[in-house]
Amino acid sequence: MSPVPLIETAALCKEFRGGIRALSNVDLKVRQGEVVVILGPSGSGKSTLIRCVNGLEEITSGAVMVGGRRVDGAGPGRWRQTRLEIGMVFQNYALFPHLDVMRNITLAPCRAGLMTRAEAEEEALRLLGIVGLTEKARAPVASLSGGQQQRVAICRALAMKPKGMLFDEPTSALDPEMVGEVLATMRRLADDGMTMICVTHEMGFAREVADRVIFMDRGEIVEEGTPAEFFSAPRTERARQFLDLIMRHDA
Amino acid sequence: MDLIIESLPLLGKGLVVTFQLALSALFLTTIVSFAVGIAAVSRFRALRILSVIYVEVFRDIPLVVNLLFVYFGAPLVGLSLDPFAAALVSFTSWGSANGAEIIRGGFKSIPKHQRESAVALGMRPAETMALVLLPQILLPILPAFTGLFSILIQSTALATMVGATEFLRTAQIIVERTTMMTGMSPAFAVYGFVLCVYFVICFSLNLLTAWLERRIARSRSAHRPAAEAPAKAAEIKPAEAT
Ligand SMILES: Nc1ncnc2c1ncn2[C@@H]1O[C@H](COP(=O)(O)OP(=O)(O)OP(=O)(O)O)[C@@H](O)[C@H]1O
Ligand SMILES: [Mg+2]
Repeated sequence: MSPVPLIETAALCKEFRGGIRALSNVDLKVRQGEVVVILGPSGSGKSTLIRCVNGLEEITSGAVMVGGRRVDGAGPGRWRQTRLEIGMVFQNYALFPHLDVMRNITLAPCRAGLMTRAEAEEEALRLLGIVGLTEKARAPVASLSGGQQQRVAICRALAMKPKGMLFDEPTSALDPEMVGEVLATMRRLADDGMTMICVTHEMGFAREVADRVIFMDRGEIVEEGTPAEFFSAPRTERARQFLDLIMRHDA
Repeated sequence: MDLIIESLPLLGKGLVVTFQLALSALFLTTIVSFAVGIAAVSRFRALRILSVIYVEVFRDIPLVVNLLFVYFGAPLVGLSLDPFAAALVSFTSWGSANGAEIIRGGFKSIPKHQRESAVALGMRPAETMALVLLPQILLPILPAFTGLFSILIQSTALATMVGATEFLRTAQIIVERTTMMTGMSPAFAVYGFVLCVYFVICFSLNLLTAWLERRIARSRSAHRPAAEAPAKAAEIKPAEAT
């Protein structure tokens, strides 16, 4: 457990054009190896928060630190460096449809000069092996199911050898029968000690895998704690209402 | 018929000029279209605005007016353009405004997560453009782009209006000269021949395009059907972006 958090935000505020306040004063610290799950109703700012961490959104005020180094306001070069260190997985996988699975994974690490093409391909095969997709290495992306595409997307991010990973509802676009295979991949990643921030509505995953649960509402962190604390005894009314709604829906 | 055979050398010269004009116009149009189309989706606001202005100005002016303006207007700003150059400038500006719009449309049809995931992988803006975005629009814009090519080739006939001795102009000269010398107008035969030549050129281009499209489609057909899957997911969850 290193003393400096891998990812940290301080008094982070984000206002979109038109005065929509998506985040207000968000303080978040994620330690090396920690798995943090962010929960909250739609529009509460979950996506915006993790998008601020790798600079996909420009922050309005506050600070974003990665590895103890301030990244916001330091120009595009610093952000690019941060993105090499922090991977991201989107809801819609967003694999590159004109490239095959292998090239999807090797493109960015090769471009960034992290490894040679041959090394990248070796690494890609290793990662594909872990997620059980070795035989799909040369398949066109569009021939894969949603669950397979999302697993490839995770491999693509991992090929950069990131120190941390951001997940924005990685299973929300999947057919129910494919959710499990993606969650299993994420679970394995967590077991291997990856630092992760996951926005998800998968309560089972949050309960079993998260070290810490953060509940957001209207752009603020309303409550945070261990999954055991949060799910069995939420302290705030808003969290209770949210959990009620989810549990009723899941049942 | 004899007249046409007799005039073939002259018509041939005109056709060569038409080909030169068409090929240079298509070449320059393609380059400028991509430049302006890429500027339209640039990170830099100034470039985006310039691109919009360029596209709107040249798309909203009839090509003939553009041509006359360039040819007769150029001397006013101290440039003297010969008919060929004036036609080339005019066709390229008009063509590239339309081409840029096609390219911009191609970029707009790419889901925004494509660009974002490239950026999130630490790719530089130029790499994102060249390796992720551009390759994805080439096939979709192909039909519209070759359609534009076909219109541009047909439009080269307009160069007659500023006195470029291209194909149509040589035909006109032959008709006028023959009418004067023999007192009979061969207009029907000569222009009929001209019509056929333009038709054959553009029709061949269309056939070539159709063939090209089919070839590319076939080479990708193995995975075409499932290609719709991510798009569908995006439709079901439109709120995802927010
Ligand atoms: N690009 C944008 N422009 C303007 N407003 C935005 C933009 N993106 C998000 N918002 C607004 O910011 C707020 C937070 O959005 P965000 O996407 O972070 O919520 P979320 O918690 O991820 O919701 P969901 O569960 O639906 O994904 C919302 O009110 C949303 O409308
Ligand atoms: Mg979201």
